Amino acid sequence: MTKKQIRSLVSASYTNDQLDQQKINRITKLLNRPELKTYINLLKSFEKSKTLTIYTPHLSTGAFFKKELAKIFVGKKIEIKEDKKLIAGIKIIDNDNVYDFNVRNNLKNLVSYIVDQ
Amino acid sequence: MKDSEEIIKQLEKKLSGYSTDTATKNVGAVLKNTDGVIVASGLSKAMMSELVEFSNGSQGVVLNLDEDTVSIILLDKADDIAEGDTVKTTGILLSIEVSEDLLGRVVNPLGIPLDNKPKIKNGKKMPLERIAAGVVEREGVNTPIKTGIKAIDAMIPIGRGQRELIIGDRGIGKTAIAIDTIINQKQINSTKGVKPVFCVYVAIGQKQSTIAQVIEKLKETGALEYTIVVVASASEPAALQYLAPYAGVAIAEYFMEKGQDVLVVYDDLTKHAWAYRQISLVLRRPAGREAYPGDIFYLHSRLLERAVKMNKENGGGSITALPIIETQANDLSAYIPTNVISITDGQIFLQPDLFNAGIRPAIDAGNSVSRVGGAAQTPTIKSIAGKMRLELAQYNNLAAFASFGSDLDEATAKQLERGKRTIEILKQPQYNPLPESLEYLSIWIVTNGILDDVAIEDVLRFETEYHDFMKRKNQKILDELSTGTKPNEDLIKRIEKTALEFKKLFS
Repeated sequence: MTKKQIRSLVSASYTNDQLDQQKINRITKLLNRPELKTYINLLKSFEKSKTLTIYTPHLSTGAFFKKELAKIFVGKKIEIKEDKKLIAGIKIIDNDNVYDFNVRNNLKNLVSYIVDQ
Repeated sequence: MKDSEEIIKQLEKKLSGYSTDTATKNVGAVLKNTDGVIVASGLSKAMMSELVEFSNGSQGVVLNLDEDTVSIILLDKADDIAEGDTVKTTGILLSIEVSEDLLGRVVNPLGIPLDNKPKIKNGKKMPLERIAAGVVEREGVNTPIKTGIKAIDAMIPIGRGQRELIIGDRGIGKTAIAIDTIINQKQINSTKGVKPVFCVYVAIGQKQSTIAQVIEKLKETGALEYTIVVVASASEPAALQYLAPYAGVAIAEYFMEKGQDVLVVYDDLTKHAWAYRQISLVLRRPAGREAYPGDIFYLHSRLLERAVKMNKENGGGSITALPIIETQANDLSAYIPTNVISITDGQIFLQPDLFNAGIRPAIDAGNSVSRVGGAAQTPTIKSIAGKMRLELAQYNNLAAFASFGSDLDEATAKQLERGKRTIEILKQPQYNPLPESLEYLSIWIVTNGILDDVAIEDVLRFETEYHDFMKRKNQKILDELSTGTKPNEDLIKRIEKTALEFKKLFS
């Protein structure tokens, strides 16, 4: 089975944007070991691409960010996590894109800039 | 003690160029680390030749963009990069920081100093990969670059902006020709009214000891002052060896953009091709002839196309390239030699047989050619070189017949004797480049029969002593010959007079 075919199996594993246990069981029975490995990897990356993770120093502000960011990242599953090291601001991970709008990242960049100078 | 106001001012000055726009990153994860090539997932926004940074601080360059993964070649020896480590894009295409401070320095292809001196700061970032200048910006080769080697300046002249290949087996003087050319620029650069030539020597896949010797020689002769040495030795990763010539030409382009003339030596492109073959095989690119990848021709053509002579509207700068190719058992028809021969504007072919016979530089005049250099040759040398080349060709033909041992008529015997002396006069010791005036005199005395009755073993002594004689007693003639114009009859008569005068003194 080609990677392209396994990729279409990954898309077919969903029902109403949710993983369907029954479909997965039927698919995995058809795959050999290396194909199964590819299927799992593709499933993971597909899940990752559908998920938006927000890091905030205070969980209390999470609900606000969730509501606002849902308007920008339409159709994404949003997860809120706490990270005290950020000091202030947020960090958004959207698949392989990282948006670092926080004090910690700014200070880190500032330090490396001064060191380079 | 600095007061607080001064400290704040300094900080403000330091931070004036700081941008806060660096909040977005494209991150991936390492899937595989094999032989200096990393395969990573993610990095969907990565560009070809983009610099990426790993979580342990080491850097790499993107060389393959696949559907789900990117392949990255490592620029450091980073064995500690493991599966799952993060890698992020930097948005920077591979470049090297260049300024005038780089002259006299020894750096690696990333611009990191290897001579224990501080790093170049506040230079201009020159991209390693760049499309060569177009036809509209260029003009024909019209100014000579003097090598100081009689055989080359007379028979295979090189012009500024030309690409002249130096090709031959190992250990027969290819690097020596390139180094002599760099050393010879010292006298050119000190001549008033002549545009100076800056030099870049790129050592690819060579032994560290050999590179150290070259640097020492450049230092000793004072040539390092106007030279930059880019080193990617045999102990460096293949990625650095692959990037080295591009770093060399990027440095040259900095000076060329300022209207300067630059000479770049790539020593050697055979090892460069080997490094690229290694990278390509690890990247699983399809292998072709001699296991080289399909784009091996483009690898060298895009590099050598960056050698250029810009027209006046575009600054008038130039980059002259002297690529070196090492052949195996004198085989010119191998893949890489034929590729580079077809890309360049001529080649200087060195023969092991000549080298072993004591003819050094061991240039095979028959197989060596300069396709565009003739237009750049000065009238002084041009007026005499044609005759010498013809006599040499006749000698080579006759010598083949003479070897049958039959009796020879007087004219043939005379031609053979003349040819032997011509070959003798073209011998030249290493690191001893000659100014054009002395080159002219050497060729003049042999083509005008002054040496016909001098014993062959005395020819080189005659030449050296004659040069000394001219320097001591006839500096005016040398000055006139240095102007580059075709010598008039009066000057030729005076040269003849001095040659005959010296011949009487010579014993």
